[in-house]
Amino acid sequence: MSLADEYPRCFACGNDNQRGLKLKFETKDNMVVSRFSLDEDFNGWPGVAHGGIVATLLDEAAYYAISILNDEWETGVTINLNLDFKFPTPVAQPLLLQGWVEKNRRTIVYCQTRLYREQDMKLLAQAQVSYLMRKKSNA
Amino acid sequence: MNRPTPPNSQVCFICGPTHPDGLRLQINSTPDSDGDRAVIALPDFVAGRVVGSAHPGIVTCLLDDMISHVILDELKANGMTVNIKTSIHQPVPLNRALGLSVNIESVNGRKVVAMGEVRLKDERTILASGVGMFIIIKENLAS
Repeated sequence: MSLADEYPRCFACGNDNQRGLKLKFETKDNMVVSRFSLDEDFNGWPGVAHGGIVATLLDEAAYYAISILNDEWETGVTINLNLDFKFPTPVAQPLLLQGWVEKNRRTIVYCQTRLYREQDMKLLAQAQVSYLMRKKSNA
Repeated sequence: MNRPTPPNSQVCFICGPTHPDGLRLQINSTPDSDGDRAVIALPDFVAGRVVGSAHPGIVTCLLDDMISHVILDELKANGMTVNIKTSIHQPVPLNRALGLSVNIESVNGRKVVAMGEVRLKDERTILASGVGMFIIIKENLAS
């Protein structure tokens, strides 16, 4: 079962959430990657994605990185998001989202995530995301 | 009292009054008796992974939007987010009244630092907090 199936109503990745972002991730070189374009519904100012939507993307990439790249965790919650915005994120343009695990400290996992404009790999935003995770009972 | 949404935010996913599917957050020009500038109950479609709770990114949306509006109200300027740090202290529930407050902590030239909180409106429990660093911009990015 994929995470999107596990959380069908999730605003970021849920398959059954008709008003959500419907992110899909794949793995590549110890990171998770998602390619997509944001709909204009997710504007802040016209033509520019809302900063909080960018936060949603970067947070989600972190959770997928933790969950897909490591089998020991059952579930977890975000405890901290630290986001730097480099340039406004455009809507209706191809974007590339990356996430990877930076370090584990017992049950707290630190991830790095990046959002690029895919056309020229211009870095639009980056984040360190901390998750409090719960291990699987058999891990 | 509610004040008009700025022209550059009419279609904003969080506060735009003409956005067909947005959250339509209404922000008051002055804090209420609890210190809140806005009250909102989040709908089901902004769910996160914890059952019955909002996505952490949506919580950041609220803080980011509130800070931007308070900068506009108090400094009469458009602010663009440079950095925001969000701490989630407890899952933020859907369909419950949340009180949103923001205070500007410092203004240094074009750099503004503000702190925001998301609380349960009735119990005043702090669910999330955030610190945003914004830069004042002269014109709307869309222009």
